[in-house]
Amino acid sequence: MNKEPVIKFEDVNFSYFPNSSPVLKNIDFHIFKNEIVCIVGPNGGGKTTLIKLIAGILKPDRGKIEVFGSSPGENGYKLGYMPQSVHYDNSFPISVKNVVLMGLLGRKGPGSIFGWYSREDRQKCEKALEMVKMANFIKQPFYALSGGQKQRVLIARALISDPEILILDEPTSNVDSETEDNFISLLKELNEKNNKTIIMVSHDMGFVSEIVSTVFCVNKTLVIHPTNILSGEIIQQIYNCSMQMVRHDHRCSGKGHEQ
Amino acid sequence: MNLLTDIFANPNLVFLKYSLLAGIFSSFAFGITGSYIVVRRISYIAGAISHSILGGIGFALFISAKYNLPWLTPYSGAVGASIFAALLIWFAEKYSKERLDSLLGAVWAVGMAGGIIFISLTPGYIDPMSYLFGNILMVTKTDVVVIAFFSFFICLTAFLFQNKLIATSFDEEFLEIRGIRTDIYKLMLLIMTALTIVLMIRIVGIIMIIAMLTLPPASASRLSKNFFSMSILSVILSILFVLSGIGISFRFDLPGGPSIIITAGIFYFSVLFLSSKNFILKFIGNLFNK
Ligand SMILES: Nc1ncnc2c1ncn2[C@@H]1O[C@H](COP(=O)(O)OP(=O)(O)OP(=O)(O)O)[C@@H](O)[C@H]1O
Ligand SMILES: [Mg+2]
Repeated sequence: MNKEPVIKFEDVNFSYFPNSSPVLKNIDFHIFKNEIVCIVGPNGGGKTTLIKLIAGILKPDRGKIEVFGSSPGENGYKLGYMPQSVHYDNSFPISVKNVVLMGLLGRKGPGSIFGWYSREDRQKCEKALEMVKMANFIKQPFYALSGGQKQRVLIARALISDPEILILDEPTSNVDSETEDNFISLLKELNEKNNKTIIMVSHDMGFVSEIVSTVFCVNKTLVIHPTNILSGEIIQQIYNCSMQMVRHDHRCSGKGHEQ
Repeated sequence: MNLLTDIFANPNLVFLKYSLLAGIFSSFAFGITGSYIVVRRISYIAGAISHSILGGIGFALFISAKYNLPWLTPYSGAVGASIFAALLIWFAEKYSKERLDSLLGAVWAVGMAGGIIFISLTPGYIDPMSYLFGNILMVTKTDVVVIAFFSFFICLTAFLFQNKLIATSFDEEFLEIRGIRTDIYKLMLLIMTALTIVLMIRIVGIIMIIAMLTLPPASASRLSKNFFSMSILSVILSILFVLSGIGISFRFDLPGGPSIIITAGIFYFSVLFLSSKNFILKFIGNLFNK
Protein backbone atom coordinates (compact mmCIF):
# COMPACT_ATOMS: atom_id res chain seq x y z
CA MET A 1 0.00 0.00 0.00
CA ASN A 2 1.13 3.55 -0.76
CA LYS A 3 2.80 4.90 2.34
CA GLU A 4 2.27 8.60 1.72
CA PRO A 5 -1.02 9.58 3.39
CA VAL A 6 -3.56 11.48 1.24
CA ILE A 7 -5.15 13.04 4.31
CA LYS A 8 -3.27 14.02 7.44
CA PHE A 9 -4.70 15.45 10.69
CA GLU A 10 -2.27 16.52 13.40
CA ASP A 11 -3.74 17.26 16.81
CA VAL A 12 -6.73 19.16 15.45
CA ASN A 13 -9.26 20.97 17.63
CA PHE A 14 -12.43 22.55 16.35
CA SER A 15 -15.29 24.52 17.88
CA TYR A 16 -18.09 26.40 16.12
CA PHE A 17 -17.93 29.46 18.37
CA PRO A 18 -14.85 31.13 19.84
CA ASN A 19 -14.26 30.12 23.48
CA SER A 20 -16.94 27.44 23.46
CA SER A 21 -16.01 23.87 24.26
CA PRO A 22 -14.62 22.06 21.21
CA VAL A 23 -16.83 19.81 19.10
CA LEU A 24 -13.74 17.85 18.06
CA LYS A 25 -10.66 17.43 20.27
CA ASN A 26 -7.13 16.13 19.66
CA ILE A 27 -7.99 14.57 16.31
CA ASP A 28 -4.95 12.85 14.89
CA PHE A 29 -4.97 10.42 11.97
CA HIS A 30 -3.67 9.52 8.53
CA ILE A 31 -5.76 8.19 5.66
CA PHE A 32 -3.86 6.42 2.89
CA LYS A 33 -4.64 6.03 -0.77
CA ASN A 34 -7.13 3.29 -1.55
CA GLU A 35 -8.50 3.05 1.97
CA ILE A 36 -12.20 2.83 2.69
CA VAL A 37 -12.93 4.59 5.93
CA CYS A 38 -16.27 4.43 7.64
CA ILE A 39 -17.05 7.09 10.24
CA VAL A 40 -19.51 6.01 12.91
CA GLY A 41 -20.65 7.65 16.11
CA PRO A 42 -23.67 9.04 17.94
CA ASN A 43 -25.77 11.97 16.67
CA GLY A 44 -23.91 15.19 17.35
CA GLY A 45 -20.67 13.27 17.79
CA GLY A 46 -18.93 15.42 15.18
CA LYS A 47 -18.93 13.19 12.09
CA THR A 48 -20.18 15.85 9.70
CA THR A 49 -17.87 18.40 11.29
CA LEU A 50 -14.88 16.13 10.69
CA ILE A 51 -15.84 15.70 7.04
CA LYS A 52 -16.27 19.43 6.56
CA LEU A 53 -12.78 19.97 7.97
CA ILE A 54 -11.40 17.58 5.36
CA ALA A 55 -13.34 19.35 2.62
CA GLY A 56 -12.03 22.73 3.78
CA ILE A 57 -15.48 24.17 4.50
CA LEU A 58 -14.45 24.62 8.15
CA LYS A 59 -11.04 25.72 9.43
CA PRO A 60 -9.46 24.15 12.54
CA ASP A 61 -8.83 26.20 15.72
CA ARG A 62 -5.63 24.34 16.39
CA GLY A 63 -3.50 21.72 14.68
CA LYS A 64 -2.71 21.01 11.06
CA ILE A 65 -4.71 19.45 8.23
CA GLU A 66 -3.19 18.35 4.94
CA VAL A 67 -5.01 16.98 1.91
CA PHE A 68 -2.69 15.75 -0.85
CA GLY A 69 0.14 17.52 0.94
CA SER A 70 -1.43 20.98 0.89
CA SER A 71 -4.08 22.74 2.92
CA PRO A 72 -7.66 21.57 2.38
CA GLY A 73 -9.57 23.52 -0.25
CA GLU A 74 -6.58 23.78 -2.58
CA ASN A 75 -7.30 20.45 -4.20
CA GLY A 76 -11.06 20.74 -4.18
CA TYR A 77 -11.41 19.27 -7.62
CA LYS A 78 -9.90 15.98 -6.45
CA LEU A 79 -12.66 15.61 -3.85
CA GLY A 80 -16.11 14.31 -4.63
CA TYR A 81 -18.35 15.50 -1.84
CA MET A 82 -21.88 14.51 -1.03
CA PRO A 83 -23.49 16.50 1.80
CA GLN A 84 -25.70 14.96 4.47
CA SER A 85 -28.61 17.30 4.03
CA VAL A 86 -30.74 17.06 0.93
CA HIS A 87 -32.90 19.93 2.14
CA TYR A 88 -32.39 22.28 -0.75
CA ASP A 89 -34.87 24.98 -1.60
CA ASN A 90 -37.69 22.77 -2.84
CA SER A 91 -38.90 25.19 -5.46
CA PHE A 92 -35.53 25.92 -7.05
CA PRO A 93 -36.01 25.34 -10.79
CA ILE A 94 -32.99 23.21 -11.69
CA SER A 95 -32.91 19.94 -13.62
CA VAL A 96 -31.26 16.73 -12.45
CA LYS A 97 -28.81 17.15 -15.32
CA ASN A 98 -27.68 20.57 -14.14
CA VAL A 99 -27.31 19.43 -10.55
CA VAL A 100 -24.99 16.61 -11.64
CA LEU A 101 -23.04 18.86 -14.02
CA MET A 102 -22.32 21.21 -11.10
CA GLY A 103 -19.85 18.52 -10.04
CA LEU A 104 -17.63 19.60 -12.94
CA LEU A 105 -17.37 23.25 -11.93
CA GLY A 106 -14.05 24.44 -10.58
CA ARG A 107 -11.88 22.70 -13.15
CA LYS A 108 -8.64 24.36 -14.05
CA GLY A 109 -7.95 25.07 -17.68
CA PRO A 110 -8.95 27.31 -20.58
CA GLY A 111 -12.49 28.60 -20.49
CA SER A 112 -12.94 27.50 -16.92
CA ILE A 113 -13.78 31.01 -15.69
CA PHE A 114 -17.13 30.78 -17.42
CA GLY A 115 -17.83 27.22 -16.35
CA TRP A 116 -19.49 26.07 -19.55
CA TYR A 117 -20.21 22.41 -20.16
CA SER A 118 -19.09 20.56 -23.29
CA ARG A 119 -20.74 17.69 -25.12
CA GLU A 120 -18.27 15.35 -23.44
CA ASP A 121 -19.40 16.70 -20.07
CA ARG A 122 -23.00 15.83 -20.89
CA GLN A 123 -21.92 12.28 -21.67
CA LYS A 124 -20.12 12.09 -18.34
CA CYS A 125 -23.33 13.29 -16.72
CA GLU A 126 -25.31 10.47 -18.31
CA LYS A 127 -22.71 7.94 -17.22
CA ALA A 128 -22.69 9.20 -13.64
CA LEU A 129 -26.48 8.99 -13.52
CA GLU A 130 -26.38 5.47 -14.92
CA MET A 131 -24.05 4.44 -12.13
CA VAL A 132 -26.70 5.37 -9.57
CA LYS A 133 -29.54 4.12 -11.80
CA MET A 134 -31.09 7.55 -12.26
CA ALA A 135 -30.49 8.02 -16.01
CA ASN A 136 -34.23 8.10 -16.73
CA PHE A 137 -34.65 11.18 -14.57
CA ILE A 138 -32.06 13.33 -16.33
CA LYS A 139 -34.59 15.90 -17.57
CA GLN A 140 -36.75 16.01 -14.43
CA PRO A 141 -36.66 18.98 -12.09
CA PHE A 142 -34.59 18.13 -9.00
CA TYR A 143 -37.26 19.29 -6.56
CA ALA A 144 -39.72 16.74 -7.89
CA LEU A 145 -37.62 13.76 -6.73
CA SER A 146 -38.05 11.75 -3.55
CA GLY A 147 -35.46 11.99 -0.76
CA GLY A 148 -33.69 8.79 -1.78
CA GLN A 149 -33.66 9.77 -5.46
CA LYS A 150 -32.17 13.13 -4.53
CA GLN A 151 -29.43 11.34 -2.62
CA ARG A 152 -28.64 9.21 -5.63
CA VAL A 153 -28.39 12.28 -7.83
CA LEU A 154 -26.04 13.91 -5.31
CA ILE A 155 -23.88 10.78 -5.35
CA ALA A 156 -23.74 11.12 -9.14
CA ARG A 157 -22.67 14.74 -8.69
CA ALA A 158 -19.85 13.57 -6.44
CA LEU A 159 -18.79 10.91 -8.98
CA ILE A 160 -18.91 12.91 -12.21
CA SER A 161 -15.55 14.64 -11.80
CA ASP A 162 -13.81 11.27 -11.31
CA PRO A 163 -12.36 12.44 -7.98
CA GLU A 164 -9.52 10.70 -6.19
CA ILE A 165 -11.25 10.87 -2.83
CA LEU A 166 -14.96 10.36 -2.38
CA ILE A 167 -16.46 11.91 0.75
CA LEU A 168 -20.00 10.80 1.45
CA ASP A 169 -22.04 11.95 4.44
CA GLU A 170 -24.68 9.30 5.14
CA PRO A 171 -25.08 8.33 1.49
CA THR A 172 -27.62 5.62 2.17
CA SER A 173 -29.77 7.09 4.92
CA ASN A 174 -32.79 7.40 2.62
CA VAL A 175 -32.25 4.75 -0.01
CA ASP A 176 -33.97 1.38 -0.24
CA SER A 177 -32.07 -1.84 0.41
CA GLU A 178 -31.70 -2.77 -3.25
CA THR A 179 -30.13 0.59 -4.04
CA GLU A 180 -27.94 0.19 -1.00
CA ASP A 181 -26.67 -3.19 -2.23
CA ASN A 182 -25.97 -1.70 -5.65
CA PHE A 183 -24.25 1.17 -3.97
CA ILE A 184 -22.00 -1.08 -1.93
CA SER A 185 -20.88 -2.94 -5.04
CA LEU A 186 -20.35 0.40 -6.81
CA LEU A 187 -18.09 1.61 -4.01
CA LYS A 188 -16.23 -1.68 -4.02
CA GLU A 189 -15.66 -1.41 -7.75
CA LEU A 190 -14.54 2.23 -7.57
CA ASN A 191 -12.13 1.28 -4.83
CA GLU A 192 -10.69 -1.84 -6.41
CA LYS A 193 -10.66 -0.95 -10.12
CA ASN A 194 -10.23 2.81 -9.99
CA ASN A 195 -8.17 3.06 -6.80
CA LYS A 196 -10.47 5.58 -5.17
CA THR A 197 -10.07 6.49 -1.53
CA ILE A 198 -13.48 6.54 0.11
CA ILE A 199 -14.55 8.21 3.33
CA MET A 200 -18.11 7.88 4.41
CA VAL A 201 -20.33 8.45 7.37
CA SER A 202 -22.75 5.65 7.99
CA HIS A 203 -25.06 4.46 10.71
CA ASP A 204 -25.25 1.15 8.96
CA MET A 205 -22.96 -1.48 10.44
CA GLY A 206 -23.47 -3.67 7.37
CA PHE A 207 -20.92 -1.53 5.58
CA VAL A 208 -18.27 -2.11 8.17
CA SER A 209 -17.98 -5.83 7.75
CA GLU A 210 -18.33 -5.88 3.98
CA ILE A 211 -15.97 -3.39 2.42
CA VAL A 212 -14.53 -1.02 4.99
CA SER A 213 -10.83 -1.15 5.84
CA THR A 214 -10.87 1.26 8.80
CA VAL A 215 -13.57 2.40 11.19
CA PHE A 216 -13.41 5.84 12.82
CA CYS A 217 -15.47 6.19 15.98
CA VAL A 218 -16.11 9.88 16.43
CA ASN A 219 -17.58 11.22 19.62
CA LYS A 220 -15.77 14.49 20.29
CA THR A 221 -12.55 12.47 20.22
CA LEU A 222 -11.51 9.88 17.68
CA VAL A 223 -10.84 6.19 18.14
CA ILE A 224 -9.56 4.27 15.11
CA HIS A 225 -10.29 0.59 14.51
CA PRO A 226 -8.63 -1.19 11.58
CA THR A 227 -10.90 -3.98 10.36
CA ASN A 228 -8.15 -6.26 9.04
CA ILE A 229 -7.55 -7.49 12.58
CA LEU A 230 -11.17 -7.92 13.53
CA SER A 231 -10.78 -9.49 16.95
CA GLY A 232 -13.81 -10.01 19.09
CA GLU A 233 -12.71 -7.15 21.28
CA ILE A 234 -12.54 -4.68 18.39
CA ILE A 235 -15.94 -5.71 17.09
CA GLN A 236 -17.22 -5.07 20.59
CA GLN A 237 -15.65 -1.59 20.66
CA ILE A 238 -17.09 -0.62 17.29
CA TYR A 239 -20.40 -1.95 18.39
CA ASN A 240 -20.25 0.13 21.59
CA CYS A 241 -19.47 3.22 19.58
CA SER A 242 -22.57 2.88 17.46
CA MET A 243 -24.50 1.52 20.44
CA GLN A 244 -24.33 4.99 21.91
CA MET A 245 -26.17 6.04 18.82
CA VAL A 246 -28.75 3.34 19.26
CA ARG A 247 -29.27 4.26 22.88
CA HIS A 248 -29.53 7.90 21.92
CA ASP A 249 -32.22 7.04 19.39
CA HIS A 250 -33.94 4.93 21.95
CA ARG A 251 -34.03 7.78 24.43
CA CYS A 252 -35.58 10.04 21.81
CA SER A 253 -38.38 7.65 21.10
CA GLY A 254 -38.56 6.89 24.82
CA LYS A 255 -40.26 10.24 25.36
CA GLY A 256 -43.31 8.73 23.75
CA HIS A 257 -43.48 6.10 26.47
CA GLU A 258 -43.26 8.62 29.26
CA GLN A 259 -46.29 10.55 28.12
CA MET B 1 -52.24 47.81 -35.61
CA ASN B 2 -53.19 51.38 -36.45
CA LEU B 3 -51.70 52.62 -33.23
CA LEU B 4 -48.49 50.70 -33.86
CA THR B 5 -47.93 52.13 -37.35
CA ASP B 6 -48.87 55.54 -36.00
CA ILE B 7 -46.26 55.34 -33.28
CA PHE B 8 -43.45 54.81 -35.70
CA ALA B 9 -44.72 57.11 -38.45
CA ASN B 10 -46.39 59.97 -36.62
CA PRO B 11 -43.81 62.51 -35.38
CA ASN B 12 -46.19 63.67 -32.64
CA LEU B 13 -46.11 60.25 -31.08
CA VAL B 14 -42.33 59.92 -31.16
CA PHE B 15 -42.20 59.99 -27.33
CA LEU B 16 -44.33 56.87 -27.31
CA LYS B 17 -41.84 55.15 -29.57
CA TYR B 18 -39.07 55.84 -27.07
CA SER B 19 -41.21 54.57 -24.19
CA LEU B 20 -41.92 51.33 -26.00
CA LEU B 21 -38.28 50.79 -26.94
CA ALA B 22 -37.13 51.56 -23.38
CA GLY B 23 -39.71 49.12 -22.07
CA ILE B 24 -38.62 46.34 -24.43
CA PHE B 25 -34.87 46.78 -23.87
CA SER B 26 -35.09 47.02 -20.10
CA SER B 27 -37.35 43.95 -19.92
CA PHE B 28 -34.39 41.75 -20.79
CA ALA B 29 -32.57 42.91 -17.68
CA PHE B 30 -35.74 42.78 -15.54
CA GLY B 31 -36.56 39.22 -16.52
CA ILE B 32 -33.08 37.80 -16.07
CA THR B 33 -31.99 39.63 -12.93
CA GLY B 34 -35.47 39.17 -11.50
CA SER B 35 -35.25 35.41 -11.98
CA TYR B 36 -32.12 35.27 -9.84
CA ILE B 37 -33.75 37.48 -7.22
CA VAL B 38 -36.78 35.22 -7.07
CA VAL B 39 -34.91 31.91 -6.84
CA ARG B 40 -32.46 33.31 -4.29
CA ARG B 41 -35.39 34.83 -2.33
CA ILE B 42 -33.66 38.17 -1.95
CA SER B 43 -36.36 40.59 -3.02
CA TYR B 44 -35.86 42.43 0.26
CA ILE B 45 -32.26 43.16 -0.82
CA ALA B 46 -33.60 44.59 -4.07
CA GLY B 47 -36.05 46.65 -2.02
CA ALA B 48 -33.29 48.10 0.15
CA ILE B 49 -31.08 48.95 -2.83
CA SER B 50 -33.92 50.59 -4.73
CA HIS B 51 -35.02 52.81 -1.85
CA SER B 52 -31.46 53.79 -1.01
CA ILE B 53 -31.22 55.19 -4.52
CA LEU B 54 -33.33 58.20 -3.58
CA GLY B 55 -30.41 59.21 -1.36
CA GLY B 56 -28.07 59.17 -4.36
CA ILE B 57 -30.51 61.10 -6.51
CA GLY B 58 -31.03 63.76 -3.82
CA PHE B 59 -27.31 64.01 -3.19
CA ALA B 60 -26.56 64.49 -6.89
CA LEU B 61 -29.29 67.12 -7.27
CA PHE B 62 -28.08 69.03 -4.23
CA ILE B 63 -24.35 68.98 -5.03
CA SER B 64 -24.97 69.69 -8.67
CA ALA B 65 -27.07 72.78 -7.82
CA LYS B 66 -24.81 73.99 -5.03
CA TYR B 67 -21.47 73.69 -6.83
CA ASN B 68 -22.86 74.13 -10.31
CA LEU B 69 -21.82 70.76 -11.68
CA PRO B 70 -24.18 70.06 -14.57
CA TRP B 71 -22.55 66.70 -15.34
CA LEU B 72 -23.64 65.35 -11.98
CA THR B 73 -27.06 64.16 -13.12
CA PRO B 74 -29.63 62.47 -10.86
CA TYR B 75 -28.94 59.27 -12.78
CA SER B 76 -25.24 59.23 -12.03
CA GLY B 77 -26.24 59.73 -8.38
CA ALA B 78 -28.58 56.76 -8.70
CA VAL B 79 -25.88 54.53 -10.19
CA GLY B 80 -23.44 55.57 -7.44
CA ALA B 81 -25.92 54.96 -4.64
CA SER B 82 -27.07 51.60 -5.94
CA ILE B 83 -23.52 50.28 -6.37
CA PHE B 84 -22.60 51.63 -2.95
CA ALA B 85 -25.61 49.92 -1.35
CA ALA B 86 -24.80 46.66 -3.15
CA LEU B 87 -21.20 46.72 -1.91
CA LEU B 88 -22.30 47.55 1.63
CA ILE B 89 -24.74 44.64 1.70
CA TRP B 90 -22.12 42.31 0.24
CA PHE B 91 -19.49 43.29 2.82
CA ALA B 92 -21.96 43.04 5.67
CA GLU B 93 -23.06 39.57 4.61
CA LYS B 94 -19.46 38.44 4.24
CA TYR B 95 -17.77 39.93 7.27
CA SER B 96 -20.26 41.19 9.80
CA LYS B 97 -22.28 39.23 12.31
CA GLU B 98 -25.06 41.84 12.12
CA ARG B 99 -28.40 40.37 11.12
CA LEU B 100 -28.89 41.13 7.46
CA ASP B 101 -32.50 42.24 7.74
CA SER B 102 -31.66 44.94 10.30
CA LEU B 103 -28.96 46.31 8.02
CA LEU B 104 -31.30 46.23 5.04
CA GLY B 105 -33.93 48.14 6.98
CA ALA B 106 -31.34 50.78 7.79
CA VAL B 107 -30.10 51.08 4.19
CA TRP B 108 -33.70 51.28 3.00
CA ALA B 109 -34.87 54.02 5.39
CA VAL B 110 -31.69 56.07 5.67
CA GLY B 111 -31.44 56.21 1.88
CA MET B 112 -35.01 57.49 1.58
CA ALA B 113 -34.65 59.99 4.42
CA GLY B 114 -31.33 61.30 3.09
CA GLY B 115 -32.83 61.70 -0.35
CA ILE B 116 -35.82 63.70 0.85
CA ILE B 117 -33.60 65.95 2.98
CA PHE B 118 -31.18 66.65 0.12
CA ILE B 119 -34.07 67.38 -2.21
CA SER B 120 -35.59 69.84 0.26
CA LEU B 121 -32.20 71.55 0.65
CA THR B 122 -31.80 71.91 -3.11
CA PRO B 123 -32.82 75.35 -4.36
CA GLY B 124 -35.78 75.42 -6.73
CA TYR B 125 -38.72 73.05 -6.74
CA ILE B 126 -38.02 69.39 -7.45
CA ASP B 127 -40.84 66.92 -7.54
CA PRO B 128 -39.69 63.60 -6.07
CA MET B 129 -42.85 61.97 -7.46
CA SER B 130 -41.34 61.18 -10.85
CA TYR B 131 -38.51 59.28 -9.15
CA LEU B 132 -40.81 57.52 -6.73
CA PHE B 133 -43.40 56.45 -9.29
CA GLY B 134 -41.55 56.66 -12.59
CA ASN B 135 -42.71 58.26 -15.77
CA ILE B 136 -42.24 56.06 -18.76
CA LEU B 137 -43.88 58.52 -21.15
CA MET B 138 -41.06 61.00 -20.49
CA VAL B 139 -38.26 58.73 -21.75
CA THR B 140 -35.80 60.46 -24.10
CA LYS B 141 -33.67 59.12 -26.92
CA THR B 142 -30.56 59.22 -24.70
CA ASP B 143 -32.40 57.20 -22.05
CA VAL B 144 -33.18 54.53 -24.63
CA VAL B 145 -29.53 54.27 -25.64
CA VAL B 146 -28.35 54.08 -22.02
CA ILE B 147 -31.02 51.50 -21.15
CA ALA B 148 -30.13 49.36 -24.18
CA PHE B 149 -26.43 49.47 -23.28
CA PHE B 150 -26.86 48.50 -19.62
CA SER B 151 -29.45 45.87 -20.40
CA PHE B 152 -27.16 44.27 -22.96
CA PHE B 153 -24.26 44.31 -20.50
CA ILE B 154 -26.37 42.69 -17.77
CA CYS B 155 -27.70 39.99 -20.08
CA LEU B 156 -24.24 39.22 -21.43
CA THR B 157 -22.84 38.77 -17.91
CA ALA B 158 -25.75 36.55 -16.93
CA PHE B 159 -25.35 34.50 -20.09
CA LEU B 160 -21.59 33.99 -19.86
CA PHE B 161 -21.57 33.02 -16.19
CA GLN B 162 -24.93 31.26 -16.10
CA ASN B 163 -23.71 27.90 -14.81
CA LYS B 164 -21.73 29.39 -11.97
CA LEU B 165 -24.41 31.92 -11.05
CA ILE B 166 -27.09 29.23 -10.92
CA ALA B 167 -24.86 26.84 -8.99
CA THR B 168 -23.95 29.55 -6.49
CA SER B 169 -27.62 30.21 -5.93
CA PHE B 170 -28.40 26.51 -5.53
CA ASP B 171 -25.54 25.12 -3.43
CA GLU B 172 -22.85 27.52 -2.30
CA GLU B 173 -21.13 25.08 0.01
CA PHE B 174 -20.44 22.60 -2.77
CA LEU B 175 -18.77 25.25 -4.92
CA GLU B 176 -16.62 26.41 -2.03
CA ILE B 177 -15.17 22.92 -1.73
CA ARG B 178 -14.29 23.19 -5.39
CA GLY B 179 -12.31 26.34 -4.65
CA ILE B 180 -14.82 28.56 -6.46
CA ARG B 181 -15.10 32.05 -5.00
CA THR B 182 -18.85 32.16 -4.51
CA ASP B 183 -18.56 35.59 -2.91
CA ILE B 184 -17.49 36.97 -6.31
CA TYR B 185 -20.55 35.52 -8.01
CA LYS B 186 -22.76 36.84 -5.25
CA LEU B 187 -21.25 40.28 -5.78
CA MET B 188 -21.83 39.92 -9.51
CA LEU B 189 -25.51 39.24 -8.86
CA LEU B 190 -25.77 42.21 -6.49
CA ILE B 191 -24.20 44.58 -9.04
CA MET B 192 -26.53 43.23 -11.75
CA THR B 193 -29.41 43.87 -9.37
CA ALA B 194 -28.20 47.40 -8.62
CA LEU B 195 -27.88 48.34 -12.30
CA THR B 196 -31.20 46.76 -13.22
CA ILE B 197 -32.85 48.78 -10.48
CA VAL B 198 -31.41 52.00 -11.89
CA LEU B 199 -32.95 51.15 -15.27
CA MET B 200 -36.28 50.66 -13.60
CA ILE B 201 -36.54 54.07 -11.98
CA ARG B 202 -37.69 55.63 -15.25
CA ILE B 203 -40.14 52.86 -15.95
CA VAL B 204 -41.94 52.05 -12.70
CA GLY B 205 -40.25 54.27 -10.09
CA ILE B 206 -38.44 53.43 -6.85
CA ILE B 207 -41.42 52.27 -4.86
CA MET B 208 -42.71 49.67 -7.29
CA ILE B 209 -39.38 48.21 -8.39
CA ILE B 210 -39.69 45.10 -6.25
CA ALA B 211 -42.96 44.28 -7.95
CA MET B 212 -41.50 44.56 -11.43
CA LEU B 213 -38.48 42.47 -10.42
CA THR B 214 -40.49 39.69 -8.82
CA LEU B 215 -43.90 39.43 -10.51
CA PRO B 216 -42.74 38.30 -14.00
CA PRO B 217 -40.24 35.67 -12.71
CA ALA B 218 -42.60 34.49 -9.99
CA SER B 219 -45.31 33.94 -12.63
CA ALA B 220 -42.76 32.32 -14.94
CA SER B 221 -41.47 29.95 -12.29
CA ARG B 222 -44.96 28.50 -11.95
CA LEU B 223 -44.90 27.69 -15.64
CA SER B 224 -41.37 26.36 -16.18
CA LYS B 225 -39.18 23.50 -15.01
CA ASN B 226 -35.70 24.90 -15.22
CA PHE B 227 -33.97 28.18 -14.67
CA PHE B 228 -33.26 28.84 -18.33
CA SER B 229 -36.87 28.59 -19.46
CA MET B 230 -37.92 30.54 -16.38
CA SER B 231 -35.72 33.50 -17.27
CA ILE B 232 -36.69 33.50 -20.95
CA LEU B 233 -40.35 33.42 -20.00
CA SER B 234 -39.79 36.23 -17.47
CA VAL B 235 -38.33 38.41 -20.19
CA ILE B 236 -41.30 37.73 -22.46
CA LEU B 237 -43.77 38.43 -19.66
CA SER B 238 -41.93 41.64 -18.71
CA ILE B 239 -42.19 42.88 -22.28
CA LEU B 240 -45.89 42.02 -22.37
CA PHE B 241 -46.58 43.76 -19.07
CA VAL B 242 -44.63 46.90 -19.96
CA LEU B 243 -46.21 47.19 -23.40
CA SER B 244 -49.76 46.60 -22.21
CA GLY B 245 -49.14 48.95 -19.28
CA ILE B 246 -48.00 51.69 -21.64
CA GLY B 247 -50.99 51.00 -23.89
CA ILE B 248 -53.43 51.24 -20.98
CA SER B 249 -51.78 54.34 -19.63
CA PHE B 250 -51.83 56.08 -23.02
CA ARG B 251 -55.35 55.00 -23.94
CA PHE B 252 -57.02 55.83 -20.61
CA ASP B 253 -54.69 58.62 -19.53
CA LEU B 254 -53.54 56.79 -16.42
CA PRO B 255 -50.07 56.88 -14.79
CA GLY B 256 -47.64 54.49 -16.57
CA GLY B 257 -45.82 52.73 -13.71
CA PRO B 258 -48.95 51.72 -11.81
CA SER B 259 -50.62 50.52 -15.03
CA ILE B 260 -47.67 48.20 -15.69
CA ILE B 261 -47.66 46.89 -12.14
CA ILE B 262 -51.41 46.29 -12.09
CA THR B 263 -51.16 44.33 -15.35
CA ALA B 264 -48.31 42.22 -13.94
CA GLY B 265 -50.15 41.75 -10.64
CA ILE B 266 -53.37 40.57 -12.26
CA PHE B 267 -51.41 38.06 -14.33
CA TYR B 268 -49.46 36.81 -11.31
CA PHE B 269 -52.53 36.31 -9.16
CA SER B 270 -54.31 34.52 -12.01
CA VAL B 271 -51.40 32.12 -12.46
CA LEU B 272 -51.21 31.62 -8.73
CA PHE B 273 -54.91 30.91 -8.55
CA LEU B 274 -54.97 28.57 -11.53
CA SER B 275 -51.93 26.59 -10.41
CA SER B 276 -53.28 26.16 -6.90
CA LYS B 277 -56.93 25.85 -7.90
CA ASN B 278 -57.19 22.23 -6.80
CA PHE B 279 -55.64 23.08 -3.49
CA ILE B 280 -58.01 25.99 -2.90
CA LEU B 281 -61.08 23.98 -3.94
CA LYS B 282 -60.04 21.20 -1.58
CA PHE B 283 -59.54 23.68 1.24
CA ILE B 284 -62.99 25.20 0.70
CA GLY B 285 -64.46 21.73 0.38
CA ASN B 286 -62.92 20.74 3.70
CA LEU B 287 -64.35 23.84 5.36
CA PHE B 288 -67.86 22.87 4.34
CA ASN B 289 -67.48 19.20 5.11
CA LYS B 290 -66.64 19.87 8.74
N1 LIG C 1 -23.34 25.05 12.04
C1 LIG C 1 -23.19 24.76 13.35
N2 LIG C 1 -23.12 25.74 14.26
C2 LIG C 1 -22.95 25.47 15.57
N3 LIG C 1 -22.85 24.23 16.08
C3 LIG C 1 -22.92 23.20 15.23
C4 LIG C 1 -23.10 23.40 13.82
N4 LIG C 1 -23.13 22.20 13.21
C5 LIG C 1 -22.99 21.27 14.19
N5 LIG C 1 -22.86 21.87 15.40
C6 LIG C 1 -22.65 21.18 16.68
O1 LIG C 1 -21.49 20.37 16.56
C7 LIG C 1 -21.71 19.09 17.11
C8 LIG C 1 -21.37 18.01 16.10
O2 LIG C 1 -22.26 18.10 15.00
P1 LIG C 1 -22.15 17.20 13.71
O3 LIG C 1 -23.12 17.72 12.72
O4 LIG C 1 -20.73 17.11 13.30
O5 LIG C 1 -22.64 15.78 14.26
P2 LIG C 1 -22.84 14.41 13.49
O6 LIG C 1 -21.95 13.42 14.17
O7 LIG C 1 -22.69 14.59 12.03
O8 LIG C 1 -24.34 14.05 13.86
P3 LIG C 1 -25.50 13.33 13.00
O9 LIG C 1 -25.39 11.86 13.21
O10 LIG C 1 -26.75 13.85 13.61
O11 LIG C 1 -25.35 13.75 11.58
C9 LIG C 1 -23.15 19.06 17.60
O12 LIG C 1 -23.13 19.19 18.99
C10 LIG C 1 -23.80 20.26 16.97
O13 LIG C 1 -24.67 20.85 17.90
MG1 LIG D 1 -23.91 14.44 10.41
